Amino acid sequence: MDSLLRFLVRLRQIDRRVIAALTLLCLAVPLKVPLPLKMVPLPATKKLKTTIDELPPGKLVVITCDWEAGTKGECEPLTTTVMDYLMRQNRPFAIVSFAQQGAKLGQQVAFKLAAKHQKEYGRDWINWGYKPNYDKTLLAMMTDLPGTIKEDINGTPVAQLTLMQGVRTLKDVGMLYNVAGSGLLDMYIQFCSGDITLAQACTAVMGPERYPYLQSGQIKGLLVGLGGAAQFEQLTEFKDEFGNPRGKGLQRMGSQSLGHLLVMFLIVIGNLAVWAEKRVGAAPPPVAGEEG
Amino acid sequence: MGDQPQVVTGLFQTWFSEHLFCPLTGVWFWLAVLASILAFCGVLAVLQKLNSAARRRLTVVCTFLAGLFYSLDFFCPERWDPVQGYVQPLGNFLLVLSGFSIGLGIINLVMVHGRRLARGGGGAINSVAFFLGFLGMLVFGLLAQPVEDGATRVSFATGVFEVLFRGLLNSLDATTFALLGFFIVTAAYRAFRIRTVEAGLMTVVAFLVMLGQVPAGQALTAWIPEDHALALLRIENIQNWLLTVPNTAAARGILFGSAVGGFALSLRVWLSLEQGSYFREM
Repeated sequence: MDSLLRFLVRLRQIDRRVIAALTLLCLAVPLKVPLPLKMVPLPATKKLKTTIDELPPGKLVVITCDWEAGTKGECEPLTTTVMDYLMRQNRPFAIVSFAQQGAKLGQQVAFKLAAKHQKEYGRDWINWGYKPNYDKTLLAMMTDLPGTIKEDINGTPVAQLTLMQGVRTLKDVGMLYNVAGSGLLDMYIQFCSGDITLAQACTAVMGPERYPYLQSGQIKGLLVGLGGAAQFEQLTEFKDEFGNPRGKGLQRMGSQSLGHLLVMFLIVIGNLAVWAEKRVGAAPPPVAGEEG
Repeated sequence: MGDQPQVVTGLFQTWFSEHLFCPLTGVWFWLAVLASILAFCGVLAVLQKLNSAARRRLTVVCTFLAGLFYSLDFFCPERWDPVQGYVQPLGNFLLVLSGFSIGLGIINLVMVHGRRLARGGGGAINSVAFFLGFLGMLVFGLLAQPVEDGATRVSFATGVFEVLFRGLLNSLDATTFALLGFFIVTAAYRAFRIRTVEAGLMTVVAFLVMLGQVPAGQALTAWIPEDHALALLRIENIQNWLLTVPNTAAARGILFGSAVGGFALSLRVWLSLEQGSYFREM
């Protein structure tokens, strides 16, 4: 018993470089060696699919890519899986972003999917580009959309594009799907809720704050983090360009699974070590990286 | 879809649109620009002559009118909304005004870093980096052309912009955020201590939510059929219940609290009851 306790005490002194190496292994290896994993879709994910399915045919969907490279790991699959489903359903969509990098990052995703599904820019999808001053721009979009957007990302006047025919204000679109690496949902709810069907995808860390809006019906679907993307991929039977039933969400779930297990393991052994220290009566190690 | 939305004409809006805010061409356009500049300079000169008490009163009145405008638009029924017609023009005006604020921010940054660069010393290298980044993005961003995906030939300016934007900015952003993952894992090991019952409860709930979020965790209870009476005990169902019931209640409570706080603060700002440093200094 005593030797076990002493072993546990020693566990408190794992070098931070070892922890960093373990983290790297857990996150990197499953990206190269895919694990055969399956996700069970949650009700919030199913609700988003139902909302999209119930949209009138031909109605424009607006995808707001309010994310940047820092949250690309989660937000890119969240954008990809819904864009892919919209293209498969022949539903036109427009990209817009209130984050500087979002419009270009969203465009990269759309280009790849458009090539896969033979979709044409301007007829099946469009990119309104990055718009600064989100609150004032959104407010203006609610009353005059072409006048506010003016040109797409390539400098073409949006009024000339086939996709924009009949879309005068944001109230004319079928759904606004916000992919967020930041907390802009409150703004969409404040300015658009009631006039537009809203749905959201957000990073996992933001997820818990979003559930009240889902329960109240202010958003009609919610994808949370990489898990949300993986669930939507599974639900909509996503296939990549080679026909493999694995999108980036499901591919990366292996890394996330091992990452979560590693965090839990380290929390447990860290606490066991502290408990053992008290039992043995050993002095705590000299600030063995207590600063994190 | 497709019909122009019905907007009630605002007070005096027709007069304004017929006499003041109508498109001008030729000489009249340039005369209007000149008159606007002169009017702006005149207003600025008058503002400079005002004493601090008068400026404060002016700020209070402007703040109140701005708040009143959106309050009227929000609370008045659509048929009798006297300002509805002005919402769009004012929105456009605010967009233009916001553009000026970006310009002011740039001027401020250039002044701060310019001074530091002129003084020299240890931090000057950071200011050099700022000017290089700022001018590089500005010049090549303006010269760059849209790039089709898969394009093999682009202009020099477009190439440099792509390197700066995709190669540098995107990569630096992603790298900085990725470091957070290592920090979280290390912190979980070194700082997450279960010292109380509440901390223990939080740990159990956190573990359940973390397991329910990933396939490896879901696989633990996958042996329970989805239509079985015990399906409630499947880990993804426990996670869903935790997120949609206790978490939603707590998050809503926090939202209500912050909303009431925000409302109180908005009222104080609107009615100029806030005694912040802005008013004291004037």
